[in-house]
Amino acid sequence: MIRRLSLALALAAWAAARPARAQDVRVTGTTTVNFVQLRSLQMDSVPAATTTGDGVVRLAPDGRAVQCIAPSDWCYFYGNGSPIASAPALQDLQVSAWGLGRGIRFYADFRGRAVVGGSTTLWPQADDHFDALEAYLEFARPRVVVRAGRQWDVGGLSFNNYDGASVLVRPWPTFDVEAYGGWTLQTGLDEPVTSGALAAVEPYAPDSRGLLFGVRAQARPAPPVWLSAVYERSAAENGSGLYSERLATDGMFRAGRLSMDWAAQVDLASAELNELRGQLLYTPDREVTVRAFARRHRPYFDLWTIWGAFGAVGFVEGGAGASWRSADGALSVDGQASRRHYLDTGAEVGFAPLRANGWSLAASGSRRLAPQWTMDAQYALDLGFGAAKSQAGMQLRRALANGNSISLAGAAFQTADELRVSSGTVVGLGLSGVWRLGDRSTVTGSVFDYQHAGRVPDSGPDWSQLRATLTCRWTVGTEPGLPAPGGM
Amino acid sequence: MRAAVAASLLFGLVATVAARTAPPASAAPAPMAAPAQDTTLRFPHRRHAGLFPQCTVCHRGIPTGDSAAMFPTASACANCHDGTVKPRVAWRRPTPLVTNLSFSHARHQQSVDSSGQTVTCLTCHRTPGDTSAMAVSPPQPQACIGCHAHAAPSHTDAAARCTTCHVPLARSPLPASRIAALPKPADHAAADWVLRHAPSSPAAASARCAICHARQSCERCHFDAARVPAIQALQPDARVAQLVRGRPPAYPKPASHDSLDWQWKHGAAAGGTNGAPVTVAQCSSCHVQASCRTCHRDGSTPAVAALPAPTPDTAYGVRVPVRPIHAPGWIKDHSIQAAAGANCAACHSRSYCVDCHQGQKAQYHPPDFVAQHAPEAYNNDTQCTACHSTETFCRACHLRTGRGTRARTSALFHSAQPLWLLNHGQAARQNLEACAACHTQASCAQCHSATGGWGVNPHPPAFDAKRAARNNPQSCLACHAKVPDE
Repeated sequence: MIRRLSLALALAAWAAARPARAQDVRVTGTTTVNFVQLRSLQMDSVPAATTTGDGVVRLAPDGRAVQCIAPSDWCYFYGNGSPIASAPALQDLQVSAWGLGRGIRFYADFRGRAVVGGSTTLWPQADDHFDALEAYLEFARPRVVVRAGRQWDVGGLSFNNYDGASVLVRPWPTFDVEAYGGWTLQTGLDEPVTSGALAAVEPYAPDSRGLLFGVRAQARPAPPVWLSAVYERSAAENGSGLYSERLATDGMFRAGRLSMDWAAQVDLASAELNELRGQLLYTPDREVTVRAFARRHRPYFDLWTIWGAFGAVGFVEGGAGASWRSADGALSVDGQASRRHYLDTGAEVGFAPLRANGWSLAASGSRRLAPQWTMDAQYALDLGFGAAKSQAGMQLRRALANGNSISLAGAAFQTADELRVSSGTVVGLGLSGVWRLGDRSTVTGSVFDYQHAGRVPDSGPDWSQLRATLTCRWTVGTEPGLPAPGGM
Repeated sequence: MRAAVAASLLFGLVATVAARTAPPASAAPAPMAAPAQDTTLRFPHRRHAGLFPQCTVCHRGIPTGDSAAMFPTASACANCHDGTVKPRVAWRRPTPLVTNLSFSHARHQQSVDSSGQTVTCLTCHRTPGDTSAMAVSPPQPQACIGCHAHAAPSHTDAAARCTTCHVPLARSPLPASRIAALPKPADHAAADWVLRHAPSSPAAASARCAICHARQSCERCHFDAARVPAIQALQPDARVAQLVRGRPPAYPKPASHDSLDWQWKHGAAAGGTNGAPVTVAQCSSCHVQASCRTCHRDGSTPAVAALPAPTPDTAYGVRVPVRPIHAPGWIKDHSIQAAAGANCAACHSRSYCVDCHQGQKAQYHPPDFVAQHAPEAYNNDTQCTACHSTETFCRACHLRTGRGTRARTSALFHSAQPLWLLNHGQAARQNLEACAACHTQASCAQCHSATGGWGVNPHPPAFDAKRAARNNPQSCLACHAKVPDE
């Protein structure tokens, strides 16, 4: 229904926009074709008689750990399945039509999906061939903006779209308040919570759509101070209960070379603090930035799930970093380290507790070797209770004429996922490029090949894979206030 | 659907090829090919000093302004150079110089120099430092400066009165190549010259600027040229138009723009904040709306709206590059800071967010992210749930690839923990989102439900059951036969 309505609105706006000379339409299209490979995990078995050791966990002849539960004659393990490949294609069309009347505009962002080769189930939502990410009619005046249709709710609480209306009032240039409401859509899905997509993976999916109401206010009382707050409530359309009731606030304050920003998310319904983050930045000169941050995180769950009753605790984290760049911008380095500590869960096993802290370390640098050559390098180490990685990468970029460029990249990483044993190093090499065709068209492409070396057989996922992306982005039409093609 | 995608792709390619084949908007000007004028004195004046006591013997047209008689004829030379008395010579009178001078020999003949002496030919033509007879050379501009009382230390000094000797460019016959090679006044070379080059009045523009510049010289950078009287005081000129065609404007950067916090202060400087009246006249010397809309995409900022919008025929103003105003690491922090929606919208349109957030474009995550995302998910640096649904994105993929389960899973999956059944409670409370990325609620309820499971209580000691029931009783009924009483 919504899709048909969006399509009808788009066609109506297009048709209405055509007759008048002053009206115009701008269309930006992005066509992306990917090639992805992945190896799924699948349960396999070996005869129990071939294993060594005793108890539940034993070793198979090839060294892998297997699970043996008596009196079964077989021991089980998760092995790698055959490689699966898929070539999904995405077509985005962003349409902005204005001149329908003073301050009236229609905007839509449509997406088409199709798999042009390989597995039809590997890519997310590959079977959903059309989505209207946004489709709204807007009435804008300097102090009032009204939108009706499908639109984004972009804020500290979420990045969701919804079907409804919003009214933004700006009584002063430094203050605005927006009220919005409608029917909620599932994050990243553009479908209501009652859709089959959720029911397919969640037996306890709600049976009623969510009704959304929110108020957002932003103020900039003085140039160095920004403040904002958003309250949002979502409840079942049939009155069976709340889905969420949350508040977020954030702000930024600058005083000379020092700036501070903070943010908080509160689950009002559960009286829980989900996120509290503060950061201090000091910029002694143009070349150096020093920063320190502290954070308290607890996962948030919608109230239609039972997860909130499991007593998640989350963690506290602190960290610091610094960056430096040379005066001419030819060399820059950045580094950051942080440590997090998980709060007491009350569920530790005294003689074999899980790790309750984590470290992360990241460093990166960029060096302009010659006017057209740039080299970037990164390293990241992340050690946590559930997963870990050590990753390094390097890119060499050659800038060509007209904004074109070509890059050669190499990467190597080790990971341990989901509390699983894994081994080996993944080494990757790739090539990417940007090719600008005139002012309004760009083609980008990349191909990366990864090889997982040094693995103990089936001790973890085999991440050997080939990935490629080809994107073509073009724009037709004009944009108010900007010169015609070629003018800027 | 495949056909639609193919058609769209084809359209995109056609559009890009069309854009590629379109003529470039700013073609570089063709190089000028005009020889410099030869001002060498080919006649050996000194060797003839004994023959010609006065210049006017040969240059008799100079005092009278008779151009035909300004140089001797070949037949006059042949009086001696007849092949007998003297060897024959091939004399050809020089081509008249093309200049932008308004000089008149006749008028100067009746003048006196700065020392009160009557002006003679040698006053201007004597070779400097040589007092011998007929030691002459082409005059240098400095010779003019020596007499004309405008206190200019040099020919191109700012104090020089150009119109004393020169006609405006529009009236001069100079070819474009000579115009391009006109000497650059010393003050024009100063680093801040462009910032202070505006003439004090249209009359001042006519008096000095017009000698070397035409209206198109200014229009190259001044998109508001039509509204600047000093620019309109200059005449348009096709030669200058040819010279500047395709040349990008070069805008200077005021010192204030280099301050550390200029990006934060520029709004106030433009008068666009605190309800102050918008006074953007100073900004509009270099900036147009498009300059600001590199960042201020929504166009609602009053100061931006007050700037002029250029047309394709005018200069486009300063191109403002997008600068990284966010601190390093911002890409991981911005999800919460985005709550300040107006702050984001000051620079970004909502579709900017969509580019990364809504979907599988590999612009936000690196190409190998799928292989490395588990640590990111565990430490929640990037808050996966800001963009992805745990159920329909994470779990759906994990189910497809054998990592997720709808039922109770084998403990061996978590192979690093032999005591996983005992450990999983701590793991779940440390990061329950990670659990939910693979396991359904029903999976956990197989043990933790009070009705259909083993009745293992998952609630923490301080769990407020009544509050949970008030919020959503349906979630209680997933595991309990009834909701708690108030």
